[in-house]
Amino acid sequence: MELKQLHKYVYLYFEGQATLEQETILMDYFSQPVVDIKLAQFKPYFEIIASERKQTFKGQLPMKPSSKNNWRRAVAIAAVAVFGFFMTQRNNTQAIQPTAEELVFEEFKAHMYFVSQKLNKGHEGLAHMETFNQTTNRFIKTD
Amino acid sequence: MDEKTFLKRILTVQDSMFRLSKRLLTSTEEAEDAVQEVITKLWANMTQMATLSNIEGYAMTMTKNYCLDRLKSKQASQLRLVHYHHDKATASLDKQIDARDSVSKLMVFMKDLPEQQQLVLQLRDIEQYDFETIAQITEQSEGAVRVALSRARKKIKAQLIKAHNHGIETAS
Repeated sequence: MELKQLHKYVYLYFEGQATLEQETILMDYFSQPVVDIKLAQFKPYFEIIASERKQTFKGQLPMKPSSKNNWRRAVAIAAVAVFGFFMTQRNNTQAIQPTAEELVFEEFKAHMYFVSQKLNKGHEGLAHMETFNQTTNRFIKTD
Repeated sequence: MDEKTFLKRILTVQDSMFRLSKRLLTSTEEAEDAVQEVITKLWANMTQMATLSNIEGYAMTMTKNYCLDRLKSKQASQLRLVHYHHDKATASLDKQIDARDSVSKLMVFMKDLPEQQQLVLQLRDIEQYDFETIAQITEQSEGAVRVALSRARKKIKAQLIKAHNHGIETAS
């Protein structure tokens, strides 16, 4: 770019009348290590601009769970609660209406209890027999 | 607007928000806090943002307002005001040590410009916004923005010439 043109852009720049394109041309020009001696006095300002443009935000984004996420969370909790409730209900229903195998087992258990009662009666009879034998032995001496 | 879209749009403007905050609040830590605070507020206003076409401009306006409010509350507090001057004194001491460093001298000079001029300089020179966008962010007319920019740059030019002439002001 012609030096005369650059001088004009610098003038416009410091009057606040330069366009964004003209300002970009000036930025490019002043980024060079060596500039025209008459323009060198303005170089520090363009160096500041170039350095400031490089600054970036290094902090953490303070994102919080959105209301949408809260809504999703509430739905998930409700779903788990409903599932748990249905599972409990299902287990209760199963307890009221036993399966065929359970019915057979219960019937077998009742029969076994009946047999056990009868056997206990027989055992009691045997106990009486033992007492009778002891009393008999007291009176009848076999030796 | 969902979180992903929000983050995508904020990523394009968060550096500009940070630089603007730093220009006004001076300290990096305070500028980072300001950006985080403004992003939190933007996130909370998501439903309102969904209707905005220029979220970036809105984010910059919010940043500017937040920083100016912070500065006002700072100036209202006597303790912080004293502290602020203490910081400035330290910067001035650095300046004296490195008197020949024209860049640092100019940066100190820029910090002493009026708030509105600093703001316009930042948005035009660093962020390269057009006058219409700057007017929108600063909530001023385009004419007022042009005047503020012209005044700020003229002051900087005078300072640059003064520094070049080793502190001797010339009638130019």
